Amino acid sequence: MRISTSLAQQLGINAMLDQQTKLSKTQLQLSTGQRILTPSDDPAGAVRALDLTETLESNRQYQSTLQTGRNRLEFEDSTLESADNVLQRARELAVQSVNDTLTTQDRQAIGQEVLQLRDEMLGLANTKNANGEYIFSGYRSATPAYRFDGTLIPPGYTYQGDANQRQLQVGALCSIADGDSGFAVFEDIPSVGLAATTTGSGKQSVLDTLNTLADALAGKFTVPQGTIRGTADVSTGVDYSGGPVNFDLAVDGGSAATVTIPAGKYANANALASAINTGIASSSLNGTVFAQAKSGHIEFVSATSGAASTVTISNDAGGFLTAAGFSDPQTGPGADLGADPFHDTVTASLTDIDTALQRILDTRASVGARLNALDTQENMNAKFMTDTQANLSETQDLDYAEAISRFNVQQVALQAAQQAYAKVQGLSLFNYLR
Amino acid sequence: MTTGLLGIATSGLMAFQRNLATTGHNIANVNTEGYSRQKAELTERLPQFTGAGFMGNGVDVASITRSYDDFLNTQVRTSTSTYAGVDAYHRMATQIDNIIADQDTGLSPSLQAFFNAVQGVANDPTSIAARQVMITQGQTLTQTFKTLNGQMDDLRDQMNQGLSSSVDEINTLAGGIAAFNQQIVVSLGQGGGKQPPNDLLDQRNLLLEKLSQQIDTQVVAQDDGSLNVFIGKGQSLVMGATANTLKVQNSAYDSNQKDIALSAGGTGSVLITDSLSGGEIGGLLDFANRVLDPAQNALGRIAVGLATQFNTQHQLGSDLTGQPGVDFFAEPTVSYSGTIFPKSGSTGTVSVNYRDANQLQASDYRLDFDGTSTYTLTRLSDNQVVARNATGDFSGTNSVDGLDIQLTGASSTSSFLIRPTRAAADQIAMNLTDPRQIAAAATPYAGPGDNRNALALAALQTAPKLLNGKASYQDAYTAIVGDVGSLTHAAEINSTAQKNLLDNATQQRDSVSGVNLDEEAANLVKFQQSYQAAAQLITVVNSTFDALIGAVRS
Repeated sequence: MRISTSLAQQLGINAMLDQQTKLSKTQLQLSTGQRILTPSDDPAGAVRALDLTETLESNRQYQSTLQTGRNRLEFEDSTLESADNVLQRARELAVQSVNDTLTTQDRQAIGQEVLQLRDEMLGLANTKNANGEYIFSGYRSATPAYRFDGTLIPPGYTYQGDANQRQLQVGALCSIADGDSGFAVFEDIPSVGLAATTTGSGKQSVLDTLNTLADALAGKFTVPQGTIRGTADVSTGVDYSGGPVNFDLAVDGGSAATVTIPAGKYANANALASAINTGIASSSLNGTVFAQAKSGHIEFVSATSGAASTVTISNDAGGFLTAAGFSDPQTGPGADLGADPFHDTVTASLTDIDTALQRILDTRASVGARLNALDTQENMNAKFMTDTQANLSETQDLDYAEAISRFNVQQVALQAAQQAYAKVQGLSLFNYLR
Repeated sequence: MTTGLLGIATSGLMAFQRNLATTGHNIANVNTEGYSRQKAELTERLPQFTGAGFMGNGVDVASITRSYDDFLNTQVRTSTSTYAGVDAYHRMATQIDNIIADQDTGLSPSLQAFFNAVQGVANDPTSIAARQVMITQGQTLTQTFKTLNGQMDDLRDQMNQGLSSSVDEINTLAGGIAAFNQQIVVSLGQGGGKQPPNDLLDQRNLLLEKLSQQIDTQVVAQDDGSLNVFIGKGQSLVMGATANTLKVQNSAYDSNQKDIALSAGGTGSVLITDSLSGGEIGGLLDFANRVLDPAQNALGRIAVGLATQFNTQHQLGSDLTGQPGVDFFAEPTVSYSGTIFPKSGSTGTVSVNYRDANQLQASDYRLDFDGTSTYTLTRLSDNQVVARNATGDFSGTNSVDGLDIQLTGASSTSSFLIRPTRAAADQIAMNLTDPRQIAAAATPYAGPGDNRNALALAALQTAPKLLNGKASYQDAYTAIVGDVGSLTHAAEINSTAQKNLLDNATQQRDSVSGVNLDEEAANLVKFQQSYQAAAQLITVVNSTFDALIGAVRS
């Protein structure tokens, strides 16, 4: 077969170019440490590498979220520990105060300390985290959890947060609450006190418990009025723009009168309560009963106190009773103080403080369990990341030993091609025709 | 008798001189592209009859021929055209391959960073800083979409320019071939049809080879020595001494898409884009149809999916001030400015809306109205008729592949090209600028600490909400990377294989037509020796004559 001289030359050059291309690609692989330089090098590998990188990045994000969650739970735990101390001290003081040898002045002094403890407790319930969020206000984290409201009958603390817990995504399939609501920790505490029994709710916030104790130590006792309290939280407001609603109220066994809430939108519990009060004022009940908003719930309180007083709500038209959480009908009686109001109150407070302590203990246990879960999740994430990283490295990283030996082979091949070219080009019959 | 020998000697001298000249011509053209080795064909002169029988009369040069094999040359042309096609395709595919999976500029890292920022807002819903980061990452993400899309547009421009320069080249070559045809017919006539104009034939052949680099050709030889060249599905490019011209023109629908038309004399022009294959042009068109358009449509589909689905979830939430969430992204739209193209002469108005990004296909569509009653909607990726209405009404909501398509007011034969996702990656943008407007809280609004909607937004990252519930945004993007990577990989293998075939064919052809210098050196020696021998004959004649004269003189 005839070999065309110019083609043979061109093929020799092409062979060298080919070897150079291969060598330069291996060089690029060696300098980047990557096996896959573009997806076409290994389409399946490139896709897997992208997927694995995404998984890895997501897990990095989970780990960082997890750290955030841990910080918040640890902060909550230390706050709860302080609250625990406050209640322990309050309990000691309450036990101490029932000693009959104490004088009124002694009790007043103890009362002063209980007041201090109450304010300390308020501070703890209104704790802010580094972001400036109130940690016990649920989703309403821009609002302090508790506020003292002197217009309430009797004056007391109103909870301004909600009952929600924020969830953090700390794993592909795992989320965890980064705190607890003040509702669960401080507000929704079963109580045996007079106030709780007369409202029918059976619950009292730990702040009101301390407040009642301090009042009792100072010799102040509030005779409970006829009170009924709705079980529903209407703090996010109600919408009656469809038309007015009404219901019947009766006070102290008197005849019922219809109270109308005008059509409109009521943004929160306070707005609703004031609309109801306007309705009461324009009815025959004027001055005998008041509506008020406490901790997002609507309460009706009679103007008279004592066991003879009652408030009865009935005849719902428009859904107010259901919305606010009243039965139809529902009656709330007042109560008398009893023969020994001091001992009764302190004893009830002691029980309530114990219940509150137990609640804080339970919450701390739950926080601890969540911290444990975070540790487990963190280890799982870390293990998963290590595996993924290994997988990714296997997919996209260069096997240096293989690449270096390939580089050497290609280098030799290029040198061979160059030498062969030079030798072959030297071969010409013309060299011998002299 | 002596005059006979002198004549023989002279004929030998003449013949070997011609042989030496031909060898010299071969040596001189050893590096000439398209040159076929030539050879002086020698033949015996007619003998003279004498009483003693037929006496030889010397040698004649019958013809100068070239070593040429038509079959092998056709094979080289076919291989050239195939290789040029896959090479152009591979060259372009490599560029897009380089763009899409870049660790820094690809979509993957931006998507990841954006959703990390969403998680950041879920972790700290009240933090303005975290919200600002989410907006900034949203901007980066939309910018990445735009950049990738812009790079694809650049590739399309590059491809269109390639088409233009190919067409220019083809026109020049076709003109050249026609001119050579004319010259060859004349030259053949000069030799009475017996003596081939070798060098002209070589040069025409070279032009044919260059032509096949641009496009697949069929060549038909004519009796008078000219060649007719056909392209596409039998459209004539060169007929004897006449060459038709190709031109690049805007498509009837979309000015960004180019059509190639063949104008034959005064009879107007025919569109032949769809029938072209092979060569640079075929490779470029193939690249657009198989790699660029699908990839850009698929990228757009992710943009549509992300924008519409993220917005839908965002609107379900409440912002930091308790207001219902507004659009987070500015959503892409299908409109007359860039994605709906009426063919000229069409009447009526088309409106297209995204209904469900999950069902979107990465395809273009054509909506035809026959002028009387029938509407036909064709999906162009598989040429499937996806909607037909023969009752003269297409004004209802026609839901096809996640799109709502309407045509109202059409009164004549009309045709519309619809590219639902082509420009979406360019159109997606940020709508929100105020970090407080990020709807991290659920509805009804429960407070600034509520992160439920932010969690729902973050969950979109892995939710399979594209490709009929089979892919997340990231999955849909890796699918593009995988597709482009595979196509490029296949093109690379194909290109190497075709290059080998071409080398092979060239080697075969050159084993017949090529010049080997060693062979020519040997020929040089051979013909030189023959020449010297013939010259020796003259000496012999001379001395014989001298001997005769001397005998007479004495």
